[in-house]
Order: sequence, then C-alpha cells, then structure tokens
Amino acid sequence: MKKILVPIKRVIDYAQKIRVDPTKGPQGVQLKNVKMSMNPFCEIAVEEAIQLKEQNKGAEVVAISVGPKQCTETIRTALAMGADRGIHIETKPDVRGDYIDLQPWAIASLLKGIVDKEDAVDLVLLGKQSIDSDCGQTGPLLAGLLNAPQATFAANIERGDDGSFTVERETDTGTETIKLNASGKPAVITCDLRLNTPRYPTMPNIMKAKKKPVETISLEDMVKELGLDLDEVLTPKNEVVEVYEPPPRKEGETVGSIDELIGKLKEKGLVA
Amino acid sequence: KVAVACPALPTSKNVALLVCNSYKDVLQVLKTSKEQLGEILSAIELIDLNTMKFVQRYGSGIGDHLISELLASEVAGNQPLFILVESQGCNQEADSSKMDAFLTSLYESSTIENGFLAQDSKHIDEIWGIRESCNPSVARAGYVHKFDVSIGIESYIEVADEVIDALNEANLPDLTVCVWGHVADGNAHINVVSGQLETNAAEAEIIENIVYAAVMKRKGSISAEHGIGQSKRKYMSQIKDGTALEIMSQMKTLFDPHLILAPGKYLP
Repeated sequence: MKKILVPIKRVIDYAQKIRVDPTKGPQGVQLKNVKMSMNPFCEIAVEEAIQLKEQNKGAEVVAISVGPKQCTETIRTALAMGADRGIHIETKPDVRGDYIDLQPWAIASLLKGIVDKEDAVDLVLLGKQSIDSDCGQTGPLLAGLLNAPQATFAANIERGDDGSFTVERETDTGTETIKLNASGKPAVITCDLRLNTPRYPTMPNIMKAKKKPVETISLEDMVKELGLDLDEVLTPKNEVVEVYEPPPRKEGETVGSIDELIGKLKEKGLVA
Repeated sequence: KVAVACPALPTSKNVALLVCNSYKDVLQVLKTSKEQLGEILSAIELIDLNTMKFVQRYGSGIGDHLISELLASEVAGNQPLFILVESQGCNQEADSSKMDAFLTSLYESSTIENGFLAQDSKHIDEIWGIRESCNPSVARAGYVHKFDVSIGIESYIEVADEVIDALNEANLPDLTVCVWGHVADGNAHINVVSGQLETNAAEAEIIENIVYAAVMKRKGSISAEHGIGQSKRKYMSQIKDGTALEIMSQMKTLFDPHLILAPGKYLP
C-alpha cells in the first residue's frame, strides 16, 4: 500500500455551546474566541489511516486541510497522531468553512485535483460529515468526481491483499458489508463513530511531528495550479437563508399532588 | 438577595496527563510549571500508581484505553507517577504555544517519561474523569482510611513509603497506600485502602497513629482542607500547644458565652 490521503476539517469543538448573533443574519454563528478542534469524524479517519499504515509498512499518510492559518495546528495534531506529512490550503481569514463560503463541492473539487497531483493514492479516508455543516457530501462528491468506488459510514475496514477494501457500513436498520474492488482508482471511504477510538498524541510523537513537512499553499494558488476556476470554488452552490438558536426550553409546571400529576399526564395524552 | 461576582469563563483550556518515573521528577514538573505556565496554570493533580490501578479496576470506564496506556509505563520495578496539568486562559494560540514549550522542555530534560496531550473536549473530559474517579474507585475496593494532611510538598511520597513500612511492621496485611491530590496547592491526600469492606476500631487507631506520627514528625498538620471535626479532636493537644488551645477556648467563649453551639464537640 503506498499512499493514504486524509482530508481533515477544523471546526468548533463539539462541546462548545454555539452562540448565534441575531443581528448578523446567516453569518450569525459566532466563531470569534471559540475553541476549535479537529472534526471528531476526521479524527477517526486519521486514526484509521494510521492503523492501516501500521499494518502495511511503507504506506504514507498525508493529512490535508482547507482553512485559515490556524489549520496548521489541526494538521500538526494529525502528524502527532502519526501522519507523515501535511498539505495546508490556506484561505483568507474571513473565508468561512462552516457552509457559509466553502461548501462540499468546492472541497471535493480541490481534493480531486490533489488526488490526481499526488498520484498512486490507494485510499482517501474522510470523516462521514463535519459537525458544523453536517452535510456528509464531500466523500461521495469526491468519489463521483474521481469515478472511484466508495463506501460511507464505515464501522469496520479490512484491506485485502489484492488491494480491495471490505467495509462494514452503518445503516438505519443494521450493518451492510460492501467490497470495494481494486480498480486502479483510490477507494473513497467515509468513517463513522464505531470505527475506532482515536489515540492521544504522546510526547515522543508530538516531538517527531515538529519535524514532519507541511506544505502550505494559498487557496488562490492551489486553484490556479489545479486549473480550476476561483469563482467556481468560492461561490457557494447553496445559500444559507437563516440561522437561529433552538427555542429555549419552556418552563416546567409544578403540581401539588400525585393526583394532579396523573391528571396532567392524562390531559397530555401521555398516560391512558 | 445575593450578588455573586462571577469570573469570566476562560476560553482556552489545555490539559495533559504526564508520566514521571520518580517523585523528584514530579517536584521538578511543579517547579517548571510555575516558571513556564505561570499565570495560566490552573491545576496540577497527582495520581500515584496504586490509585491508577484501582481506577482501572473499579472505575466507571471513562478513559479506559488511556489508563491501559498509562499503566503500560510500569516496567520492571519502575513506579510511575501520573500528573494532570491544566492551563486556562483567554488566548488559545498563545496558551497552546506555552503548553507546547513546557511539555517539550520537560520531555527533552527527561523530567517526564511521556505525556498525553488532550486534543479536544472529549480528551479533556476523559483525563479529568480519570482524576475524579480516584475517590469513588478506591472506595469500591475496600474500606478506606482517609487522611487529609498537610506536609511539605516534597514529603508526600516519603511519608507514604514510611507508612507502608510501619504498616508491614505492625503486621497489618491487606492494606494499600494510595496518594493523590492537588499538588499545585501543596496538598495531597493519603488513603490507606483495606482489602476488606469493613474495619475495626483497633486497626483504624493503629493506622491513624502511624500516619499522624509520620506527619507530626515532619511538623505537618493532620488537617489540610477538610478541618478537624470530631474525629481528629483527640490529637488537638498534640498539634497545638497549651497557649494556642487556651486562646481558642477564649475565642469560643467570646462568641458563645453560654456554650450553646456544638458543646464539647470540637475543643477539648
């Protein structure tokens, strides 16, 4: 196995309370001074890539991220987990990755260009969706653009000696097993929660990561290099119309006795 | 009506779990943290090997895979000590950079054997979950003789070792000494865990005497953050001199001339 690409996304940390500024319309989600981390599903993808690398000596894991300059930290995390090198496509600081500016189509187009440029890519592992836009589209779009075999929501991945991948995927009614045959194209697999438990970066690996190469290239330069159209990439295909916080929880009702409680429950049709 | 002054919630939090080979290294971590993390240092918690093993065995399951990796540092006769370090501040980039420099200097000087750096909130919750599991895990293992003592921070493990030797000499089998606590504040808890679920008064007194003797030998206090209460009252005359006790008595009488408040409970 030669090369595994892992696109990763820097998002608002999953445990943060999201605040919406109602005066900012669709741009209302507050990003300033908010803790950011690697998207949890991307972490799972990185972990899987490293496990596959450990099983297949000589494989190279490349972490790729599109975003502002702080994305290098996200890439360093992937390197500290065990990835070999990184590619940072740097966007201007005001370009938002949470569906407002950059959307899956743009990312998939960029990734397709990188896959072609990198050459000899066996596998692209992505998180099944990002927790800010929740689209779940980048993986499938990339597979479509590459005309490559894909499997989404992977809960288990096994690589065959012939270069095929057998994937157990999550569905609403159970698990489905799909085999992606070796096709000369990279397999595209998106990762779900049960796939693995991402490791902690440990000191020895954090130290090694500082010496691993990270190529930084501006979005504009990358777009030019790949022969894409910058407008095409930066103009979102979908428009966010409105963003609002979920309505606050309604105050509960206090009752004076058990009989009153039962009465209320019956009233609301919760008890026969 | 009550007005509460609330500090602003810090926007940047960094947590790491470190592995040291000796207590001397732990003290060095403490010293270095004050020099290199300074104002953003918010917590340093110690967990010794015995405690970590109880957490693995009796804990709630939080951080299990991390605990396995931590316990793997115990090799041939080595007794690792684990430290949780937390920083809180208002600038994620600056804080992460300080934390990175701090951990790098500790690692390069071999003050730490290894370190696990939390990458997101899930890791932070896991690492704190392990720390918070110390007390309940140990309580599930058996009867716990708890000691909230103040001694010079450099003496905690020494005291633990002394207690272990004394307990062996007193022929008290089936007891494990666990040390964990807030070493950044200069305070740790010594817990003597029995293999049985109950104890008897005689055994409890022997253990108490052993621990307090080790503490008072070092001019420490038998009470740190948790107060004297009723159970430590009998030691008052050993830790406070006659004049101090007399003044304490006078203060009590000043505020409670008719001895209405908890008579006979606290002052001898």
